[in-house]
Amino acid sequence: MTLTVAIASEFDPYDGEIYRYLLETVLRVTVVKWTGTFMFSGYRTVAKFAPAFLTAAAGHNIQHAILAVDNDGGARRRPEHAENHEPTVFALDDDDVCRECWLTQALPITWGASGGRSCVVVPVQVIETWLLAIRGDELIPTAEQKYNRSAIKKEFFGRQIPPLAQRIALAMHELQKPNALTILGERPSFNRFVNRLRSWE
Amino acid sequence: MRRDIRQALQLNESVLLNGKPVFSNNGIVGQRSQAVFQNSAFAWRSGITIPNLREKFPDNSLVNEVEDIFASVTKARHVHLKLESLRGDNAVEPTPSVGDGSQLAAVVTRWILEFPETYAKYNDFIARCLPEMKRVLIRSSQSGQVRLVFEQKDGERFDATQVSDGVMFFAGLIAHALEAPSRSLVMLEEPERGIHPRRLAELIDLLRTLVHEQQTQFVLATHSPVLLNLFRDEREAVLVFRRGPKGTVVQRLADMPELADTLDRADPGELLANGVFNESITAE
Repeated sequence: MTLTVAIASEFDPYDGEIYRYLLETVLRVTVVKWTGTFMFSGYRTVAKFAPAFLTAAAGHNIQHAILAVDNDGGARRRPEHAENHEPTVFALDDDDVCRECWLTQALPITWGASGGRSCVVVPVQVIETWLLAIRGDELIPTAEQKYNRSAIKKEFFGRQIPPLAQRIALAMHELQKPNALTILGERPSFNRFVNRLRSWE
Repeated sequence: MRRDIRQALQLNESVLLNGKPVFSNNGIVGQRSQAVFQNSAFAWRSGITIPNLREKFPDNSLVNEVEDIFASVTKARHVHLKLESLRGDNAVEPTPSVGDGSQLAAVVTRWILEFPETYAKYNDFIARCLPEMKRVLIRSSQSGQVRLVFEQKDGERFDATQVSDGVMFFAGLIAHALEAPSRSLVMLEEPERGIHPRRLAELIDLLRTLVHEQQTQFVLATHSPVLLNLFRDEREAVLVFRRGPKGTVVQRLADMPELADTLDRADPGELLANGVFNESITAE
């Protein structure tokens, strides 16, 4: 079975590919990523263009979508999502709020009303945190790491960010480890992602 | 060592090269934003010596440090492509160089004849970043000159006078990057010119590949928020040129604590597009 999923992520060639792979692993189906002609650059564009993106996806008869941004925050700012968060209306430039709630409200009502299924993903702090966890790195971030996304990325990639193909290869090296999903299961942000995906089944 | 320079310069002893201040206690200084990019590197290459430095600062370590800083740029190539040059016909020469683009077709001809691996890599880069394109060919005229021809995936061919400006600039940029010797420094001025914003990520990825494979270093001068955002996780790699009353001051984005909080909320491209960097200059 093949599932086409519209994936809106901060940097599609890299993040999008990781999410596509994770979808395949969790759902156990072949997943084809669709982004159309959209180009996302940073977390804000994902929320900003979500309505147009999902409308375009629906136009291609795509019924499944992932919206993914990094949390990039910590205790003082951008708190991690909790199930008891009240549905709130956030402005697009609200910056110190729960990013899962913030991104969820960017989903257009028409998408769900027409049968579209969606999943909001917000790795805490960034997607490389998940990869570092699989690699076995100590995950008690310093204050700087907690608020500085580039510090976490460098911890995973090294000082110089490598070319895209190598970044994907490094990520896949971790994600394809036999115990990857077990380790990721200890990350609450990953668990929320998986639970939402399971509701698609 | 770098601290030695700073200490010396804090005595207000500006370091002059060719009569122009190059270092001040704020960092590198030039009269215009391009001063560091062009004047320093290329004036140095054209024969500037540093006897004045030796007189002012007898400590050899300081002079050595300055020499080290400039050693990397003495063999640098400064890429400023001209559209009319890129589109032109070329005579076939034994050792052509891309330059401003006026020998691009001759360079590609040489690769086809003598360096098929480089030619294959060139076509690979072209096809990756310009998805409609398959490869670059050469057409020779009766006068013995050569011209670039671009073959699309559908087989249709367009010569250099027919393709878009973006395709030509991209073809020239990639040729420069491939032509650069290993471990050299290549300065690209506004590589975003004529290139669709969506393709900039691929261009930067190609440059990263060359950094990785050939240890080529690239310095990009850009006004593109899209391009700048591709370096948002490498603030130490971004130099902000800020024009002030005493000249242009260059600072790493990572060394601008006054913008740290703002950068936590917005991408650097947003700061560039909305004049935040300029405002920092005024504040200074």
